[in-house]
Amino acid sequence: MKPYHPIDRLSQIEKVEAPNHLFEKIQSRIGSQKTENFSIGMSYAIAASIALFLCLNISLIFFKENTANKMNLFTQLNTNNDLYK
Amino acid sequence: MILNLEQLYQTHKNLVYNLALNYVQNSEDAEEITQDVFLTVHQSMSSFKAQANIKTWIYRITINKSLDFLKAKKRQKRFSNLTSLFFDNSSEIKHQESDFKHPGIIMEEKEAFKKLFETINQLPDNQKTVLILSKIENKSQKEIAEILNLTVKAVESLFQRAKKNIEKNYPNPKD
Repeated sequence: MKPYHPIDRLSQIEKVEAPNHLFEKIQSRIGSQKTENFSIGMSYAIAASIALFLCLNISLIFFKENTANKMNLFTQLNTNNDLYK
Repeated sequence: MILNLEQLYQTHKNLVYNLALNYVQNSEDAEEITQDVFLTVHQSMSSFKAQANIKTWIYRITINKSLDFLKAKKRQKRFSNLTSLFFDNSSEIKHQESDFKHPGIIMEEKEAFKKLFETINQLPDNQKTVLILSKIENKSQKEIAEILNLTVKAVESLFQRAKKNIEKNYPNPKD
């Protein structure tokens, strides 16, 4: 006779039916994934456009400051007649 | 090959649910794993190769999802144990301890099975999987080898090691 082993008990486990409502839950999860999730390409595109927007803004501020300084200097030189004295 | 999710679900739902149940021994968790499995099936349907066996593919996804779920649960448990040192959430820990709710086990046998599964849950993942597939799912060693992508010899060796580990760790009924 084959000696008893604790794992022999495992064959007594009965199979059960999967609950009926599961497929609806799966479908709603698929639906929410479609509306919520961006694709990887789309995420990259959004990140790149944000980075470009920030770069343009920073360069615009820098350029504006530079131009303002140059304009100040220009008006100073033009209105100031110290050089001709 | 055109795969239809609903058709796949109807054909394999019991296989997935029962296999997940044997890993987590809890119907709510098995339901969550079943959902995750079919979500993955839906996402990967387009990349599925026609020459592969669908059943084997679904078995693999279920095994991976169940093991991932158990790992996540273990991490969560560790975290809640850590937070319980600082905050009083003892009720949550008590709930986690009484998690054994396997609908395929009759009430009279519940305690004996709970002890047996406590021992099985301590086994390494590959030994646990071989044991579940062979003793509960009644799969042959050849089928298990195909599902796990191993040789029949490796499956046999994992099964013997699992058996030995259970013999060593299973509490003696006389104790």
